[in-house]
Amino acid sequence: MALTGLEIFKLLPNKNCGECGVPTCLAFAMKLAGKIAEPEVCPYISDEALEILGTAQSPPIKKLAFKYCSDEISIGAETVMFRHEKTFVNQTLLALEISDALNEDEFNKELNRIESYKFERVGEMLEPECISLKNESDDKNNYLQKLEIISSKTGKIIILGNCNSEMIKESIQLVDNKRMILNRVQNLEETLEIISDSQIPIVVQAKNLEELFVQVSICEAQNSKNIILSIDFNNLNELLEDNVYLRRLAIKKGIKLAGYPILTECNDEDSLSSTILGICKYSSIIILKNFTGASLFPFLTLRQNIFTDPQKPLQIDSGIYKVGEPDENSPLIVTTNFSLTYFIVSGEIENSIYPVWLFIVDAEGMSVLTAWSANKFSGEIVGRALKNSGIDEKINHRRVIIPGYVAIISGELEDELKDWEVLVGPQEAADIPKYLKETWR
Amino acid sequence: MKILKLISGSFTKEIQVKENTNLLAAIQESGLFIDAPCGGQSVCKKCSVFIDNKSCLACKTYVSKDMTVVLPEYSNLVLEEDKKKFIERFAEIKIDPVIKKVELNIDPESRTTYLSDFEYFKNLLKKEGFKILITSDIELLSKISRATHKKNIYTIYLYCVPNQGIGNENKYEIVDIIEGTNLRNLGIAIDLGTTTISIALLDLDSGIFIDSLSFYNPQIIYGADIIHRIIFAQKNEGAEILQKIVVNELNLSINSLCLKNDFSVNEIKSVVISGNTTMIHLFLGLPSKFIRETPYSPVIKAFPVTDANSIIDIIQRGKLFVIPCVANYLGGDLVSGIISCEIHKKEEINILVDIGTNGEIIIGNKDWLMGCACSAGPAFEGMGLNCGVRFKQGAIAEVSYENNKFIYKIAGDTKPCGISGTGVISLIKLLKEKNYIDNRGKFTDKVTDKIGHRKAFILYDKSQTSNNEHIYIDETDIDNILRAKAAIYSGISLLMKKLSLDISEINNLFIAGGIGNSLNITNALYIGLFPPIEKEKIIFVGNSSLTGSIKYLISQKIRNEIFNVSNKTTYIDLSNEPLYMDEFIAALFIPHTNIN
Repeated sequence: MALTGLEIFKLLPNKNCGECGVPTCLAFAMKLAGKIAEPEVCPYISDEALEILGTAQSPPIKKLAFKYCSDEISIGAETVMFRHEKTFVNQTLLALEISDALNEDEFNKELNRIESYKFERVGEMLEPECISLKNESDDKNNYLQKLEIISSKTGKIIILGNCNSEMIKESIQLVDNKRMILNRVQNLEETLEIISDSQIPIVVQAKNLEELFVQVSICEAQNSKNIILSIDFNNLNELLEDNVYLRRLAIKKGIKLAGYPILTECNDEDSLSSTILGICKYSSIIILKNFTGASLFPFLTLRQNIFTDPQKPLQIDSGIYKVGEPDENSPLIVTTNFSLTYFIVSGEIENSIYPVWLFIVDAEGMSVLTAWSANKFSGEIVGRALKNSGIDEKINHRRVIIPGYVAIISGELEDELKDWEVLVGPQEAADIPKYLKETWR
Repeated sequence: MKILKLISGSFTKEIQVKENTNLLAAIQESGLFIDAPCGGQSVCKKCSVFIDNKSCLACKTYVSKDMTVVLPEYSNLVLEEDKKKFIERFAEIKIDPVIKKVELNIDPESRTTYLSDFEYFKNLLKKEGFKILITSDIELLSKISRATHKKNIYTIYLYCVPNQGIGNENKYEIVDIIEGTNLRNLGIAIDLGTTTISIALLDLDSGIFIDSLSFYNPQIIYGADIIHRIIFAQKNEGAEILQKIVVNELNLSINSLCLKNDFSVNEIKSVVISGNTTMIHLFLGLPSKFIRETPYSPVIKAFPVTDANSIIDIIQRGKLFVIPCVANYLGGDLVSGIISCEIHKKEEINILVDIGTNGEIIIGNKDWLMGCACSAGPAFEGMGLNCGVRFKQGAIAEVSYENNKFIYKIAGDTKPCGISGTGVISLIKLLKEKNYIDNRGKFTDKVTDKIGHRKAFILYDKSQTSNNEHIYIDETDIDNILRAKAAIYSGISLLMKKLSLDISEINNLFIAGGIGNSLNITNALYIGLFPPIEKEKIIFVGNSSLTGSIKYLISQKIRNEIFNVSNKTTYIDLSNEPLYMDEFIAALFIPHTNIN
């Protein structure tokens, strides 16, 4: 079980030397408890403490790392049942399936189609990270040839599906082992033998939990530690139950056999629901058999939302926002990019029924007074941001309303924005409707 | 030159000023406080004074002749600490001051030839058990030389240099040598607050507390909070001005404490000062910009020991000690508070809450200490409320409810002038109990009065008050108090969450700061200023920053503890804590929403 900050603190030397980069041992212990530091950073930590921390602090779900394009990505390492308890650590990877039985032309076309699925959303590039190459030809040379094509043409992680031991033996010579996963191997024990010297993750398949744990024990007995779990399911209920059980056993009960990432293969009938369920409830990899750009986009969006760290202050992008349908005579209000501030201010503007140009200044996600105290919402910063915003082409007046709490920046802002009039708005967003009604003409 | 006689309550001060000096500037220069938030632009109309029984604005008046000016009573703020309490608090400490006093009988006749004056002097002290370090002070060498050639009894003050770990022997630096006997070894402790400064005078031979004095920090005219002061310090000569006015005020008050008690300033050989990180930076003339901006770094945590006269020039020969800070927003005042409450010595876990313009919270025991700062605002000090006043004559101090009527207790036998912080807290409690407000602090239909367009609860009609204005509370006042209490409540609960602690594991909750002694615990718990804790566990400790500085003055041992405490206290920056906002919003209710 994970230790609390104070429990970890008792294991540390309490020298408060600051050599780990934070000023006190307690602060370092809190970082360890939050899993945002490694115990080895402490130069004076005892071996005994390292051992306790190693076992206690290793995540209840095994972390597996892969090479993906030029980066490294991981799955597993989860510590909580629900996102709001802390955060989910590694997002679900999406895998698109391709058959080796396609002729070379069709295969390349299909591969190009898979490669084309890239979407940009709120500044992030979203795409499926894996390709699942399924052995349907049962022709080793054909399979290896197709594998070679994927390996050279893409940077994605490759899931080898349905392979016999011979195929696996040669595949691991052909492809970077940090890019591959073995799924539905034809002979588990032979395969374990073949990969015993490598770190290649292997998917353990079963019909139910009991059978799964038997298989996992076999792998562990063979000293294979990079395991991924997969249970066949007949309907959504089974998928939900199995995934929740596995996560609960690993995190709440500390059962090591359940402490591995989960792979879900979507069947054709209900792939939409099962993919959504898998993303929301604990699948680390999902293999999709049928897909189009239109079907992938909602999955990627959902995934991005679920795996956003709720501990980080939410910011919105700086820039000009329309509230209602403002025209060239509408008022211009500025505030910071802290999302709570934005939602409250824009909400109150909506209540006022006045269409307004709302200009959001990048204040590193701080609220108005906090940003001002840290010098991130000064007259100079607001003025410069406004000048570069292009707002002067959208309005033909030159008046800007600033939050009442930072009335003090009005002078500096007027110096920065020649020929502008700076109006001091109300301190509380709740007074914006009244302010617009009474003051704005 | 014209003579200006300034009267504030029972206090009178005469100053000389040049003809045509602006009266507001002259008053500010005199060290008396006058509220002028607009900075003398004759906009706010707050600097009103009486000259020949006629009211006028100080900022628009120029001194043309000798004048008698009557200022508002608040201008001369002198808070009397209970001396007896102080003496009790230090009784158990072994008196072993950092600056030692020794008397030497010097007889030049007994000297051997060819030995230098300094060596001769050093040997004399060695016989008394003091190993002396070399001095770099030329003026002091001259003084020593003169003394070694003139037969008399001399009083020597020695500074015990902190042991650097080389050998166990204490080493001493000569601070001063004065001809004569029966001189005292006096010390000054200072709590340098953003709003209020308190100083205490002690006799270090006996450890007896002699006298104390409190007054407004004169820097207030350049900004009510630390952020405004830092911004002002960035301006041309701003830092010099801030340092000068506070040092002048300290010079004056140290002098007046000595005069009042018939001591010589020359007998003061040590000054210990504690304050928040910003106040100390401004006082020492250190750059303060990065206290406010990334990387949020103070210049240094353990401020060096300096000659007192390099800053406080009234003290000719003496040492200035500054209590070390923890971080940019967690200052020596809290380190002092930890020492004062002895949190760092106890097995059990205790909490210290210092309620001022900033609320600071410390939690810990002998093994670990953690602290944070949250901005409570001045509402608890009666400021920032429509009809708020400091605790003084005429302030509504407490509210009760009898026979379907609100009963107000007024401090002093006088007409009411406003409501104090503790008065507001007890009023809010009753308004909630009697359903005049809901748990978000919004008025219910029971409240029908209005001031202007806003709903308001009127306590006194203007015909009954001393300033002929209504005394009332409206929703913005209640919001202000709820925000202030939520800031403190959520600070405490966040620290406890981070440490996975429950309130039942807390031994004592110490409350320091101005609000302290007059706060009614039942009311404070009702509105949710603190997490629900047994009343018996709450202890008021008054000005713990000053108490800590006094302990430093009288005990060398505590000096070592203080550096240890500052080093091991973990600072939590609430603005980096995503949970804080959740906690804060959950606490914006009466009492809060964390109900199990």
